[in-house]
Amino acid sequence: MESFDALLHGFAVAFTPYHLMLMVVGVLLGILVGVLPGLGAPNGVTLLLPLTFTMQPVSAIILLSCMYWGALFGGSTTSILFNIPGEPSSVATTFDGYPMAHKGHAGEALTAAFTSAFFGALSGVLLITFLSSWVADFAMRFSPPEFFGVFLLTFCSFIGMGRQSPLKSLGALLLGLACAAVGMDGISGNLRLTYDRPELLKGISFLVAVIGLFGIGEILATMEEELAFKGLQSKLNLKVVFQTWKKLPRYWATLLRSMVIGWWMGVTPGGPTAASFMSYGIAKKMSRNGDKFGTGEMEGVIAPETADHAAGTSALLPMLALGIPGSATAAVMLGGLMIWGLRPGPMLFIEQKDFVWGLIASMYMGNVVSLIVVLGTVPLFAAILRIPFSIIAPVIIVVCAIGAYTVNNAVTDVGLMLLFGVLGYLFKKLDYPIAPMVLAMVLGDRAEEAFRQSLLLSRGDLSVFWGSPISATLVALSVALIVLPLLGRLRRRLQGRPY
Amino acid sequence: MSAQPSTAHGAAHRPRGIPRWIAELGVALLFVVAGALVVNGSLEQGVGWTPTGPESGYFPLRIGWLVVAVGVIQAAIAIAMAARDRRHRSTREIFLRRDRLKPLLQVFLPMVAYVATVPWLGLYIASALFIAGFMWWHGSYRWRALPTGIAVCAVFYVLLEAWFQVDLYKGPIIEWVVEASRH
Repeated sequence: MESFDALLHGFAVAFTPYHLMLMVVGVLLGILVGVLPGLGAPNGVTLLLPLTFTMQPVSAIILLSCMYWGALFGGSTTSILFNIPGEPSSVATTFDGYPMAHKGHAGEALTAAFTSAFFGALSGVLLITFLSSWVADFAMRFSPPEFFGVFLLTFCSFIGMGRQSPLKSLGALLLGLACAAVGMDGISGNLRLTYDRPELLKGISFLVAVIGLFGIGEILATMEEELAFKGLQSKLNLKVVFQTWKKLPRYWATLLRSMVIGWWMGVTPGGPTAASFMSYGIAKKMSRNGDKFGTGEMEGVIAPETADHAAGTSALLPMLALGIPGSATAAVMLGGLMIWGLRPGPMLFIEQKDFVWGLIASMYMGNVVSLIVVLGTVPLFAAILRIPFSIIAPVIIVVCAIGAYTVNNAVTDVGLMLLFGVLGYLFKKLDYPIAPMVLAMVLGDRAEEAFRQSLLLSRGDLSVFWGSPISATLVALSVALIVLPLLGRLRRRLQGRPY
Repeated sequence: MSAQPSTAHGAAHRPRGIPRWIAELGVALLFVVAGALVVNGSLEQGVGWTPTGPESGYFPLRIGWLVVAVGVIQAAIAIAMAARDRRHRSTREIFLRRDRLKPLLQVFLPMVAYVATVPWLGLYIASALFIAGFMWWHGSYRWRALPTGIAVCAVFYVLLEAWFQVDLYKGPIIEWVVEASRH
């Protein structure tokens, strides 16, 4: 019951009027970025991060994590009402959510989405509560080779599990690692890859990259499509909410299955997007109404939403316990931890008990706050999309530019953001995944450090990486994750089936 | 909500525009160039082994070579795609349809102009002008455009400078005005 005591202590830390206010503000801002096209959870958190540098780490992480929950909720809102996924992870929600709204059941669709999202997130928090200190204890035994093994496994699971071509995932990952290497070398203090440009001395900030890749890239990609927001009206009153809640227990099996999928995809860095698609696909196969999926089945909203939020929340487990984020947003938050002077990883559970358990406690409260706020404010936020595009688009671009500037107070970063924006546009259109690149930019330095320290221990002998049972298992799993999908592709190709 | 590259089926309605293989080849070459820069930069640092462990360039050198390798393979795939396009015109994939180029540039070029003017005008003036210009051009707003731009910037000023105490780059014009008003 050690975790339970720690959790109670966490509630004492998190449950203050100031933190409750931060939660409401965070959720509202999150819904806002989730609703606005071009802004999403990763760059919403990025934009807010520089403003938290002066706050207490606990308060800052509460604000940011609540923004994350809010963004996940906001993304589902636009999926259902406008058929525009505000977040990549809510694409699967459009499949049945929009048809439901089209049939006049917008309120039911929204309630089903929010409620299943709430249960998904709650299940993720429970997972974190009971597993994280155990994982952290286990990781205390890690030395540099094991840590490098964990990094390797993280990188490889992106290559193996993504929907995109493994080669493109690998390319994006390597490019991220290359960007991370620019600037001062953490071990020797040498300046490398700067080509004598003073603005590169501090390295390429992953925060600027995130704003460009996700924000500007997204705006450029959407500009090609007709941008007329054709929103459906939503009436969300208590009667509809209670009627929908009465129907939900029927779908308990879908709910449980989607939670498990979400946990798995969140803890291994498959991320919420992969989780929601996988959950939708499996629900379609398993459901008796599977053939009606896509025409407005409530089950088709519950499955992706539960998995999306379960994954989004459990992505914070490896971030806290191992210092390895399970999603792009978690990667940004991890960067925040480092900026606030905390060292993510197993030691965090010993050195920063207040911080860790305050955060976990705030997740319970944050999700309750989110559900209430989101049910109360959705019609308001849906109205934002009725603001003409010629006003909202430049404002989003200005927000991105200001966000990029505030990272380092550098005007050149605004230009860098634009370059990353063009890259993000090209990546999106050519199916290069962006998340591995961001992950590699955040983790690159630490992966390299673990690699070099391991080699130092072994005096340059690479066999150190399969010297201990743990690191050998990790390396073997990493290799399997890369090789198995390739074999699968090869087999399909030999059988002459298109992939 | 990324735009899926449109694939044309049937010769009757075949969209024209930049073929996908050119874009694939371009990005592949970008990888080669980026990888080469990393390799070159690492070699300058030293890539060998010293008594204190691997040198600074040891790790990036290997990453750089891998980036080059991915670029070369992707370039080969792109060229194969071009050859396939030539044989089967009907399944040709388009990266950017010709009729979509204009709306894309209509957002991209103002964005470039905005970013380019920030160092001279400062973030506030550039942002206000950008929002106003965008509204004027795309939304055919007239008298409301500039006030909206200024209002948005005023909100940012209150939010950032007053509330969060984050200084934005004001640029020479505002600094000159502030300086002049002091004397």
